[in-house]
Amino acid sequence: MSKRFLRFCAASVFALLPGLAGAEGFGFLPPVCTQSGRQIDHLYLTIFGIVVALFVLTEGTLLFCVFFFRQRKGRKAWSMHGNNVAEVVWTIIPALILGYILYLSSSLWTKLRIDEPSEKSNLVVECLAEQFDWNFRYPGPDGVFGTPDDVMTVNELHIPVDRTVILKISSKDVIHSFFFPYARVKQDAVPGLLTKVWFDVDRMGVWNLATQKPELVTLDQYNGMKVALDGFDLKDPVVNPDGLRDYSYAPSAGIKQVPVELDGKITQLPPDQAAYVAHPYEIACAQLCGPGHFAMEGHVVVQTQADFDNWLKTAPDLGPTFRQKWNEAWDSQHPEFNKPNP
Amino acid sequence: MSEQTISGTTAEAPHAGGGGHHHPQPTSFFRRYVWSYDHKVVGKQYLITSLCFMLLGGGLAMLLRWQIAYPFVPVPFIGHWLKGMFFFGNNGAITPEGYLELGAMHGLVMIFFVVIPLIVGGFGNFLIPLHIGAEDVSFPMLNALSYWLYAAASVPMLLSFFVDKGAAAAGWTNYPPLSDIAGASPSSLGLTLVLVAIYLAGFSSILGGVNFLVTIAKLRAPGMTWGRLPLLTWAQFITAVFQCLATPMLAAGASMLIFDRVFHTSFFLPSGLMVGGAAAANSGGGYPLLWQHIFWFYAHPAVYILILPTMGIASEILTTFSRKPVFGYKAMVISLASIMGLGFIVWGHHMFVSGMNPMLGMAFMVSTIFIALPSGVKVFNWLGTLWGGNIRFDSPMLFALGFISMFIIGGLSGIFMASTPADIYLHDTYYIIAHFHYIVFGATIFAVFGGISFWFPKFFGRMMNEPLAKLHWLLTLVFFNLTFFPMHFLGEAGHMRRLATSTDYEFLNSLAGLNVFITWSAYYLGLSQLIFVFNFFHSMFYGKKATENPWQGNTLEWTLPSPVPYYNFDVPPVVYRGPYEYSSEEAGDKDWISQSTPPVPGMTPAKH
Repeated sequence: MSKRFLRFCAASVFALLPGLAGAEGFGFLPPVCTQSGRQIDHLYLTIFGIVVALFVLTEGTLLFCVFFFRQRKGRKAWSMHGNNVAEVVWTIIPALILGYILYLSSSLWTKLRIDEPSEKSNLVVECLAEQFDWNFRYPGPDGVFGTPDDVMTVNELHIPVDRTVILKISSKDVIHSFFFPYARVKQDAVPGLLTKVWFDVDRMGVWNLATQKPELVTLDQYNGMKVALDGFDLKDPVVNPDGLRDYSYAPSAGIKQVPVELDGKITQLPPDQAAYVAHPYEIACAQLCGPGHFAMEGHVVVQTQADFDNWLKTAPDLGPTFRQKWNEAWDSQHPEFNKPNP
Repeated sequence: MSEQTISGTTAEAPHAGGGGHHHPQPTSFFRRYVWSYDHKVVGKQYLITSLCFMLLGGGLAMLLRWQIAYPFVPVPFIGHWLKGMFFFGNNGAITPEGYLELGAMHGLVMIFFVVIPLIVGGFGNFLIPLHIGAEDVSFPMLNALSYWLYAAASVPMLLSFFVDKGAAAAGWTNYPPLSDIAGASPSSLGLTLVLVAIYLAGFSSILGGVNFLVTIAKLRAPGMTWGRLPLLTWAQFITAVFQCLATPMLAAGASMLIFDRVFHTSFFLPSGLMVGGAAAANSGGGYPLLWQHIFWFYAHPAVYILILPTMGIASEILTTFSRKPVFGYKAMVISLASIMGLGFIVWGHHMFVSGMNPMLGMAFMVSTIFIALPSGVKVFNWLGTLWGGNIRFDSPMLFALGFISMFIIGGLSGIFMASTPADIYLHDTYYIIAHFHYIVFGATIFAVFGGISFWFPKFFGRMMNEPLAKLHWLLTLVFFNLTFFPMHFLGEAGHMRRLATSTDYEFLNSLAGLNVFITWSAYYLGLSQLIFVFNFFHSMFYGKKATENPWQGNTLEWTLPSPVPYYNFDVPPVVYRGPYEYSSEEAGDKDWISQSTPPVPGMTPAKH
């Protein structure tokens, strides 16, 4: 084996190390805003490391054989029918590796999908998908779903930062899939079935007005920055010749003052004094649900607890028809799910 | 010793194929090429029909890629000619409905009308009787019927493109309620027609499976013990078990869905369904996940129907061109059998985020992770076959090496999705698309190209043009990887599948350039296939005349003239040794010895 080849192998192993260490922003993975998402990324990267090692081993052996055992005059192939020791070895070693992946996966799966957090102490939100919208419902001040003080939104999920949110998902018509890429959450919305996911978002999405790029920040960081809560519009993206789009925020036309949050206090400032704009995360539908599937986009607005409480009080009422339609769909499918929260 | 081995095998062998009474070869065109009972003609019918459908399926994929790279931009030429028809809007661009139709039909055509008929119907029919030393399959008429059912199935499938609202557009998986309620789905009569087509194609597949099982069990030549069967025939045998046990589930599911659509039952519709703000008619009491269980109970074994026979093809080619026996014959058979056993209990890994009980997800993760073991054993044994060989690089071998190499990538990427937490993120993204194209195109179709070039002499009595075949291999390998490898990046970035355009999403914004790159790679991949089309038809008529055994193979088909005569064997062959005794002592100066060469006096044939 040549020195160059060994050096190449060493370099590939070192290139993998950050991956094994679970560095954020590896490869094409988008930013992550939940602890469980980070754990999924870590598992993904661990499997990635193992897989790359197996890839190098097997494809390397293949290339080695192709090179060293190519046909040459006067050579005869070995007449060899197999080797039971080899068979045992290459069954047991992969079994151990797979067992290790299984161990990691099953413990994380238990945490993500089996050990349900209590509904009493956490925020519960209901999600009812339809062609091609995401409807959300909050229990309102009385803490009970299905009462007139419920808060409802369309395509906008508001959640407080650093709190566990339990999402109960169903669908009015066909199967959809609630996909929140930055949280690494995906769960199908099935008509006639109530599915449940939970997550705690610990990063808030903001838009840096200087760089015109999105950023993810912790609550502490957020409190130290001047974030405009309103008064800015996301402009239609400029499409480059290569198909990429440049998004940018600009102050809404004619606006003189925008509400800016600093250290939990909101003050009115001229737009040029804001350094950041609150920038919601995206949610998507991941299950084919009809011709409008590609446009079934929603947003997650992550707020401080105070902002969230304030929003709950002032959220616009979508009207009695909307409320009635929701109740009809939800109740007819899930009479047993609509019991008041104990 | 040899006497003992021979007498210890199938007693039915003298009756091989047709019980010994021969009819003269039919002279009429109809009985010779259309309604023929000859397994070789049926095999060729399957081969050529499915290759034609591959052009259709591939063409749909090309249009699909245009829409992804250039969303809602009129398609050059084709869009202009077909304005307002099929998948195109009035400006010649693909509509969102048209995009879904393209996606669903690409998948359905490729799976039900290309790969299964190609590798099971085509290779299986042609090669099984030759490999086991029989005159034909056990039920020749059933065989012809199976092909014509498949041909009949293509009628409603093709018709569906022309009906109002077009063909199926609810994914190749046809998940209800989307595929079930008229108001929800973009297609109407087309989807029902496609379900009928699937039903018929499944029926054809079952008939083929029964036939192969009986043929392999009963018609083996004297001395052809189970331990001497070529691995391709073993693979076809195990595939046939899958076909017989799993395909009826598809028929059941398709019938229920047809009933829902046509007779307004509600197998898959829960109570209280609201579509477009109004209560859906005839909904109540059904369960959408039931379809997914039924469908994947068939469709996951179907994935193995798509790969097992080509594992056999790869084994045949690798051993022949390495001039070395297959490494670990028994381990190869055991791993095939365990893939079958486990293959029946892994279907739930398609449903980890479907709302199925998470405890069940855990169980399916265990079975899925461990199905990687037999697949790994196969890879290691193929590498063991190469190890110490005297490897020739003719075109079949290049494709077989491509098969292993791509199968490794596709197999390894499967581990990510088998892990339930990773699957939460990767499910329904391009990661899945990359994964199964590495298996079904990278592995299966590579083995098919290798197999066609390998057995071309037996199919048509001529050789394929070798330089063209090698060029086709090189271009396919390069552009295949340029097309499908970047899809792993898309999946890692969270790019959902079945998305008519990703432009609505900011988090997918940076991937637009990659999508354009993939589309152009796909176009070059598509163009490269024209080399094969030319080579196939040109060599069929003008290729170099083939000798009896151009690759110096051991299995029984290489003892027959090229092309193989009617009724195959004049005298039923007697088998004295295993199929892969390359470079053995017995072979003497040459490095091969046919399965039916009588043993040299004083020398014991290898017991394999």
